[in-house]
Amino acid sequence: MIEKLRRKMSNETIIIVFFLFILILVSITFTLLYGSFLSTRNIKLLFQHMSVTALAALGLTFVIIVGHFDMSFHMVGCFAGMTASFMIGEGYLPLPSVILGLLVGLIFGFVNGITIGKFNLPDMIITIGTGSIALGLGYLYSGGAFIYDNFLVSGILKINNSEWFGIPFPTILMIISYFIAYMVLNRSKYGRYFYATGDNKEIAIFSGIRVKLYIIVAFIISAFLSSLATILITSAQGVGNVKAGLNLLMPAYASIYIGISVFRKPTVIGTLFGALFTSIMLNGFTLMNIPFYFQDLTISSTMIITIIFSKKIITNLTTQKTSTVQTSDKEVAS
Amino acid sequence: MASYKLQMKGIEKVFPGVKALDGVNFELKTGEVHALLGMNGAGKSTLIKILSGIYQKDAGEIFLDGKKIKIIRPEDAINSGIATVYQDPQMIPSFTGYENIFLGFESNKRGIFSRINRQKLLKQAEQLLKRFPVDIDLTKSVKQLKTVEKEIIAILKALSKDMSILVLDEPTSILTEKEKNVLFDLIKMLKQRGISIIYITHRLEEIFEISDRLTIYRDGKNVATLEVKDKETNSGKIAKLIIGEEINKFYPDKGNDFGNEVISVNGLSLEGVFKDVSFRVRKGEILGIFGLVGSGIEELSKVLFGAYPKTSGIIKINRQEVNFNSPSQAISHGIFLIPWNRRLEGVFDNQPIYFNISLSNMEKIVNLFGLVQQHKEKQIVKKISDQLKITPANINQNVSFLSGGNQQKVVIGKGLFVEANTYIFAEPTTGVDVGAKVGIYNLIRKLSRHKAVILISSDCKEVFSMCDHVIAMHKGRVTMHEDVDKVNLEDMFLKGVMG
Repeated sequence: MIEKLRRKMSNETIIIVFFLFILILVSITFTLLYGSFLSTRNIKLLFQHMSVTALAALGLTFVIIVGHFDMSFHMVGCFAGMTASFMIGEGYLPLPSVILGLLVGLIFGFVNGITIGKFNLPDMIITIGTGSIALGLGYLYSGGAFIYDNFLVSGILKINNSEWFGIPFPTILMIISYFIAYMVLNRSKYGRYFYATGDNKEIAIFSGIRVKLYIIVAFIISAFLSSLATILITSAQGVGNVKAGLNLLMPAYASIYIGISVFRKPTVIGTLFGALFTSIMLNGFTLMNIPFYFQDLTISSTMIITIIFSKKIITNLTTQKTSTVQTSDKEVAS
Repeated sequence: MASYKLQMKGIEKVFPGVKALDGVNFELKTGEVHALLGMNGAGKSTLIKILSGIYQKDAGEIFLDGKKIKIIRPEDAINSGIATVYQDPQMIPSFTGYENIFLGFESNKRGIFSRINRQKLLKQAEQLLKRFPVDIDLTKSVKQLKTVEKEIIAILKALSKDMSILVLDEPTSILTEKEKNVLFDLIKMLKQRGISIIYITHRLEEIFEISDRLTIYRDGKNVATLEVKDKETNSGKIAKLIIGEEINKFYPDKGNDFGNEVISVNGLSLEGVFKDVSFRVRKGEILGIFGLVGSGIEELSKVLFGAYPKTSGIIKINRQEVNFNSPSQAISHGIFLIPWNRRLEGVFDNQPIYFNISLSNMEKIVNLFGLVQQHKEKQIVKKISDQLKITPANINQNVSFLSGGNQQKVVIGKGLFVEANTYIFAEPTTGVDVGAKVGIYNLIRKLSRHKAVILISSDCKEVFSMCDHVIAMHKGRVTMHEDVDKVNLEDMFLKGVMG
């Protein structure tokens, strides 16, 4: 029976169908445990929450594609969120506040990109460093205290609350961002350059690709989208909280790696799948009144289990088909 | 019989598609330096790998001191007293010299808590070193040492295990003249101590300096064993024996219809690597550049492609001076390099064929917004793939499933997609089987009809037979620059290997 199925479908379809099956299984479990899981209100809430994770994860996907790591994006987000909050508190309009917030995010992304892409410094330690600087700067505005001033009157809350055609604005932002990212990464020449850079820098350079540029751009996109995500969180919470972005770290990485375990490489669709999956889990736990500190614990465990699972079981399932194709191309003695 | 330290008789080794060794014999006397010569693929490296236990022979016998021995694993070779030192030996860079010498043999005691007596080890290593006229600081970490010092440490490591046969695989190819002399002094000392040395090299001049006898292999067969002292042994004779008589008929015809100059290079230099290289290539012409590892030809090709910055010199394309400092700029000036190492510089092997072929000139297939017109891409790539006869013909196939020859064709296809005016081929036929070789040679000749082609290779036959104009390089200098019909193969070979 499995043999027959396997012959009919491509490897990718097997994995996607399998993944959807798990997704539905999880949803059914939550519905059984908590009836209103599938209510319109909860679905809307789910997507609103997912948008934030998905945006941060999307930016990070670019960095993962070019073969690097970004451990700073969530902390850069904190700084961007606090910058916007501070502006609101000082009485500025939402638009310039948000733009300045995004701008400081961009600057950090640029610094990451230059140090790692141009000067070849190690990505992990550099981004932990720049991220900590960003978080430190975020504290400077209020000494770590919440910023409430003008939040209710300035209109910043509308970013989260307004709806277009019944769809929450954050969800629209997510859909637009994912559409653009999909077109760039899957359909445009730039997508090829990003993937080529991450696959093998040396070959990419010899193919005439300006790898340094694409690494810099990837870090900028990561910082920009995580800043946007944190500003959305700020708008949703209605308060400037320096720690607003910190909870993005694990869900973002989990989304990407769940996506990778489905599609074998970092992709826009894979990350979207991953974000949906992590958000459903988090939403379900919230409904079940499971304390917030279980979030990272469960998300991280899920991520690691997914990685192990996809390595072990899915590779076994799929390699049987492909292994025989490999032509023997042993190096001839020189 | 007993006077031979080592005898190898009727050794055979078959690789998929190639008979690397076809009944080869080798005899080594006690206390001699015996050179192994032959072109790439002649079988000398395979023979050494069998002797050191890396490969297993398919047929034949090995005798040590007249007794038949079996070498199945590298340990067997070491236990029989056979040690091999490769060029640029692998060591643990952060460990010191003496730690590397005794790596794995630090202590006889078992157990995790048995202490390593560093003082004792250092003393032992110094005693070992004292027997030879070399001066190395054994307490320095290996990464701070020069290449020759690393090689000597590798030799000391071999000596620490009581060996009687030392195999040196092209030890001088990346050494300077001065470093080479240090190594040669050491070899002479070892010889006096009765150690037999097998010395593999491409550099003929060294043979007269260091070796007693030499054996030449060609196409997996013995050609000759000569005494170096013999008056009839000279470099001309050796060159003839290495190259062989017949030039294979599978090379395409030479060019005859030369058009305008496409690329010219004047006084090109890269400090410390190569100096004052000048040439020009016309449409319809193939320029060949022949040299060994260390001659600077690899760096030259990378300078021409913008991967390394030049120190001085002028590059002109269509008589216009151009300056570039990255491959992406070189490509935009119409230069394309089919690089040295396919796996490291040429193809993305977990990407499909079309991805690889179109990558360097996406402009050709994208619309105003940079979006790929997939239909157009597939059409052009398919045409190139058919023209090159890439198999499998499915352009969605990942490159990792292709044979070496087909992978090389993908790289060439990438070049065709770029529509450059100058193509530089670097070692285009390494790791490619004979059938695919013919295909690639014909492609290069066909390509040259409308383009300038530069073929850079350490295979002298390939350069001589394919090209209309040849340059030989030795240690960074141009030693020959002639039309191919005015030179003969032996002269070109000697200019490349001896200067």
